[in-house]
Amino acid sequence: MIALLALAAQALACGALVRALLGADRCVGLAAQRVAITFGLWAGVTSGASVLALRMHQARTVTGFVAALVVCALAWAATRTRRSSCAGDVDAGHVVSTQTVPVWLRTLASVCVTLAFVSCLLYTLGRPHGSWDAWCMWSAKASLLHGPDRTWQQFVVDLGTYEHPPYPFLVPGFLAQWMDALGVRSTSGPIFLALGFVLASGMALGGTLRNLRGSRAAWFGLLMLAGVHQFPQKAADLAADVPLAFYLLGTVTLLQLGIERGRSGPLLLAGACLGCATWTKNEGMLALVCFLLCAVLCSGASRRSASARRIALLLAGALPFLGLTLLLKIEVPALTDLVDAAVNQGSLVHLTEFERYQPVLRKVGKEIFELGNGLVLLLILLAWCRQPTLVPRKDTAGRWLPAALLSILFGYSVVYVTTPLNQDYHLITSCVRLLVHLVPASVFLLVFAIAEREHTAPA
Amino acid sequence: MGPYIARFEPLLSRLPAQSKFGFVSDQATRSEGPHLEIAGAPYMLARYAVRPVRLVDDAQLTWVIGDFENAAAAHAAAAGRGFDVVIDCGNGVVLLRRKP
Repeated sequence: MIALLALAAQALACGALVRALLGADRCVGLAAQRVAITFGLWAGVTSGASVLALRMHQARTVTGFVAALVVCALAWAATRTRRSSCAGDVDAGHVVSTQTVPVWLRTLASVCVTLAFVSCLLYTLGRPHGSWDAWCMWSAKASLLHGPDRTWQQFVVDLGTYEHPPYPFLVPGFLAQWMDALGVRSTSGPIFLALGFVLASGMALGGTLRNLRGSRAAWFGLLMLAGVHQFPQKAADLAADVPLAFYLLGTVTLLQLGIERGRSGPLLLAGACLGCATWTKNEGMLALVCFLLCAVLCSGASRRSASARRIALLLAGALPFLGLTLLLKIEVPALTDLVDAAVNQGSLVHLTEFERYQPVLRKVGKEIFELGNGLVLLLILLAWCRQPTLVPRKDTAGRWLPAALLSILFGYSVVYVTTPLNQDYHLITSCVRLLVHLVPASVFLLVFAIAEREHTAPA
Repeated sequence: MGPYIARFEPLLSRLPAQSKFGFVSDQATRSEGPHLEIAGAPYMLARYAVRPVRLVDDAQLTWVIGDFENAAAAHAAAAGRGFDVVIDCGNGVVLLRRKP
């Protein structure tokens, strides 16, 4: 019961922080985005508290309550700062929908979104333990944090017996708290997390598009995401891929919101999402590097100071979760192929083996074309023909965010070329899920780019 | 996958209070689903099935959980390796204790 209260306290505290940083506007889009980001932040905070509790030899419920208090204090500080800042820096600027959404679009999107969610539910219920990765690693590792007699030393030793020992712990950490709260061994935790991240992805995508571009763009974005059938399928694997996809989407949507409105709160939350991405999978570390690198490279000479401020806010938001990731990487001594110098030397040799590039290009290109059985590409084409002129941007975000996503894709491709694993096996088993990481954020940027902005509410 | 996990259910409520258990099996691989032909799959499956009980891939410990083809194979393996069968689930899953 107390563990359940700790979980609830952390959720409320995260909600308060997100409300303080995003604004308390009643706009439907912003409300949906608030709920989605609160869910993501809650998963990150609870899992962080799980791991820190073990590291600091404290009870997990106590650490959970302390984490909730810390987040509440941050929310209070953010609210005070916003109140003392300039009046124009609050809540104004959301899009007021003046266009009617075509009935065909609303109907089609509603049907597709419903079908996608139902298919996700059916996939999950049909395979409640998830895929190999889920039961072998993500769900199984939660047990390492569970139990009253656990110590950090035991945890580190036992982690060494699992596949990929220093993988980040967002999913297992959350599941450990879930097991505490329920008091029983159950598959409900991974299923709750998977369905939660699917819903949160839809809310963050639709909410932000509605907020920044209007209802038509929101429905169109949801239709495109629902059309990618690989997304609910991968969610039902109960692994960490859809959570990572959500955090990348959260980063992109919050950055876009913060830059458009010139506000710091969304940028801090974008940093928190990026931090959670590093705390979810190793690919999140690549994403962090790509976002920071592209922020530097895409900033024009006249906008260096604005770019530096954004990077600072992004890093400030990411810092707590980045710290957790580094704690695990440093204290778990087992080496992986990512940090093993001997393996890395062998990997670099692969860069000059040009016959390794062709299968990667072929597979990645094929999977991109087949996302959503190609229907999504058709929709993009239709949208492009309908709105041939891109809305001009005032800011470098127009280049920064797509560049960051493309560089992540490039990074994945380089890993395929250099990896010491069997390349064909590696491509077959992971290419689709790596692309799924990028799908929601890419859909957002595409629709954002081609959608015409509707009326804006006065400040 | 589901039926395999369910084989361990009768064992879970009767396990003695120990910090960890070893594991022994007569099968290098499993054929219940995709990827389970990978070496070590029985141990990984069993580790997931008994969570949050700590299971280590070590047959030298005093308390060992065994996963065998059937009950007869489990008893034969226990006798051959110097174990007593403490709990027999009747489906090849057993709890073994090393003879003093």
